[in-house]
Amino acid sequence: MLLSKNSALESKDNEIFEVEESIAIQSELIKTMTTMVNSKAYVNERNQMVPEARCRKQANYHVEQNNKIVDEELSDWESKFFEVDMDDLHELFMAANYLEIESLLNGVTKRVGDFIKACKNVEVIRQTFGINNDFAAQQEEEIRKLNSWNHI
Amino acid sequence: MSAQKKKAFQIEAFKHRVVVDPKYAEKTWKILEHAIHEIYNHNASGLSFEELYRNAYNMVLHKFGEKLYSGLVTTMTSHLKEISNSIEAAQGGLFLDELNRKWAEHNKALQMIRDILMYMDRTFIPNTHKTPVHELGLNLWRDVVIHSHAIQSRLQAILLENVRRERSGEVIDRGLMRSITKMLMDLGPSVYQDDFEKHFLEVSADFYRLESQEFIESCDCGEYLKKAERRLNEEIERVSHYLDTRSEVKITNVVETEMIESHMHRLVHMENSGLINMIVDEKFEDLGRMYCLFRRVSNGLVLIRDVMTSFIRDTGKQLLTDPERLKDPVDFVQHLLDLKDKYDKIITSAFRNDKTFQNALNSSFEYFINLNSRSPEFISLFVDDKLRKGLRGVTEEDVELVLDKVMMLFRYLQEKDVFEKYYKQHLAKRLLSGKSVSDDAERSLIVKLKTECGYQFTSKLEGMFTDMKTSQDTMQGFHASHGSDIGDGPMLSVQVLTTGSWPTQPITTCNLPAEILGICEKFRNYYLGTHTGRRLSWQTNMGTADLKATFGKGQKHELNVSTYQMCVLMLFNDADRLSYKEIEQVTEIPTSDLKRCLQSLACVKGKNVLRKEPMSKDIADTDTFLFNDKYTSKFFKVKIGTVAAQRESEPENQETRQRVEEDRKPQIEAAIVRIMKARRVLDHNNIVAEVTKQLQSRFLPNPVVIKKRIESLIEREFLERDKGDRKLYRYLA
Repeated sequence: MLLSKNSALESKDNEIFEVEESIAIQSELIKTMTTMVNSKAYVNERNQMVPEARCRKQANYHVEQNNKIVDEELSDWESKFFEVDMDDLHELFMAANYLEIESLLNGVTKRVGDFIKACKNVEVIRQTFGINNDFAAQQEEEIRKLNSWNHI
Repeated sequence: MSAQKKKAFQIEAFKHRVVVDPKYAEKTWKILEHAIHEIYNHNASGLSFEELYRNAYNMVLHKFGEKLYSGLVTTMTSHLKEISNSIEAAQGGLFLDELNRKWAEHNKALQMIRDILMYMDRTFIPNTHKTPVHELGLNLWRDVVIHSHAIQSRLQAILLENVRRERSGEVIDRGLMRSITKMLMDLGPSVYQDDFEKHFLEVSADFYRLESQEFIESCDCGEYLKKAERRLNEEIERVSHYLDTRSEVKITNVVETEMIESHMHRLVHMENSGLINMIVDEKFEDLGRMYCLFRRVSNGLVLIRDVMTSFIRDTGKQLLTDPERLKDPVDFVQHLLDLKDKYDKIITSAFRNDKTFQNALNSSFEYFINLNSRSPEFISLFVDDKLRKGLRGVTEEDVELVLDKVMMLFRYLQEKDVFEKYYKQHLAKRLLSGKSVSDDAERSLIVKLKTECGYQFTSKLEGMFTDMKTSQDTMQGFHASHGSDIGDGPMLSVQVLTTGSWPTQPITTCNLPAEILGICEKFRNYYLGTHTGRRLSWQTNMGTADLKATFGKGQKHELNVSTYQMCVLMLFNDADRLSYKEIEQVTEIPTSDLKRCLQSLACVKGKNVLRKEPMSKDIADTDTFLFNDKYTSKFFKVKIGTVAAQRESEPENQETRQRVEEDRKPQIEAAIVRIMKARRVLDHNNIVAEVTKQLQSRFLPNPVVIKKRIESLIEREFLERDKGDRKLYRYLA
């Protein structure tokens, strides 16, 4: 492989991270880019622009740690890692989606799932996640009737 | 996790979405569109993958996937239209080249585009059930380029033209062909089939139809087959080089149908070179080729087999009805064996030992061997000849080979019991005259017969051997006890035969000369002394004698003659001249035997120890015989009158036949009783079927005879007819 052991990744806010290749490849996106480098070379080798801000750093961090820690310790470390507020969680989510890092994505979605479970009803969910109620009154009635067994 | 933090977040979330307005989408799309253009123009090096990926990602994320997708379709389509035009413009030979090149470029571009639009491919497309990017690219290529009016027909024509040129011996660019067919296959199997394969097969069929017509008019069978084989191999090679492997079966089918199947009959029956000629001339290579080619076609082998079978049957029938051949049985059987060898060779070397052909051969042989009712006799004569002299000096393995071949012919016989009868007769003659070449060979054959037919068949034959051995022992005992008594008298050697084992002989009268009678009596007393309760009768028609004779000028000869001849010759010790009537009176030998024995004594050149007056060939009642003083012979020992087994004359043959029929009756009856005892009640047809089945290893019973036997059994109250149904029989215990 042409790449050195460490690849340099540049984020949108122009921070450069030196990442071990094996970790960088955990991201599907970066993996595709590196393989393309070898065949088509229309991508600058070391300079890969990443739009995400600090999240990138965290993702990086996460990935790094992932490779070093054994399973039992992992769950502890993971729960700590994900104990962030909504904003950070959101950014982590977007980062994971964009870079296509499966393990990170799983962790985040699990976390979000926990959040939803913790909420008591629809209203609370809407508040938590900032979702607008765009149902017409009639529609809402219908849906409530259909799912009445669910105790909404 | 607590509710307080969320308020700040809420507002942010909204912001994200609102920011993205249609203008954003348009802008982003423009960037991507430009990129696609650059890619198609081989200008991709200036692009940043990540940037494009990000843009596509954002479009999809913000729900503009639809715009992205339709934009992609439009852009790609327009590029492909351009490409299509440039291909159309290519002249003559460059057409394929240009097509191939553009196809390779399109693939590269497609891959790059797909990488950029990966996110859309993964999320938007499955959700909306649209065609993925790569597949979309192939479909557009297919629709815009390949199926464009001008290109489609031209492509097809050029491909087929290339194939045609290669078939007539030109060299074409196979690599290019390979790429093009691969392209068609990548576009989908139906594209390959409809755009190319279908027409390819049609054109090939026409081509081969014409060619085969040409060949068959001008070539003979062997040449034609060579050409067909060559074309077949060519096509297979062609497929391996630049066609889809699934085409192989289809094209070989075409060749087989046009070149082989349509002309099958004509080839086989071709004058001077067809199947029959190949068989007669033993053209193994041609036959092998015919077999391989015809095997590919349904009913091909059936045709060969049928023609071969009818030919073998005809040849066999001819052989069997040719009177010339039938005169010499040994020769005749040898011919049969040669025929079998020849066909065996053909089947092993040319027809790959095909079982069905072996079976056909066997059934044909079985058919015509049994056409001639004298086949069992002839086979026995053949064996007789071999065991008398044919196998002298032959190695043990070769002996086994010959015997195995004989066994093989034996298996074809339907009337094995007739063979048994003749074999017994001939064996008796061989044993008694000591003429068998090799005891081991005899025994080996008996063993083989036993394996084939069971103990019953050979028990009597083995009895004959045992008798010979026992007689030897008896003679030793006799000489030991009476040796001193004999002194200068005639030397006697006796074989004691058990009546049941040996072929039944008619009892004949013969007066033995006095000198012999004495010693015969001594032996009789000796034997009956050791074995009480037995009856001995001399078989004078089967014996031999050695006589010392002195002729006119004092020359001595030792004559080896039959017992009858000895009796006759001994008379001339006391008289020089005797008439036929006198001889007959004194010896009491039956007429026909006497005539035959006198004939061999007086009428055969070189062996005429007697002179006959008149010197005619036949013996008449009025003839006179004189001792021939002037007899000369080169040899000291002269053999007269030991006649080897001859093929029977017609009346003798009839007689043997009759005896066989008589023997069959009790066998049939035994079979009927056996069956009825087991079944108790059975109807007529079934009895006949069962009896036939049981006896088939010995002979084929005649249904009429079976019926007669059943009636006889009814008379003797072994069976009874059912009162209600006339066709039903019941067993009576």
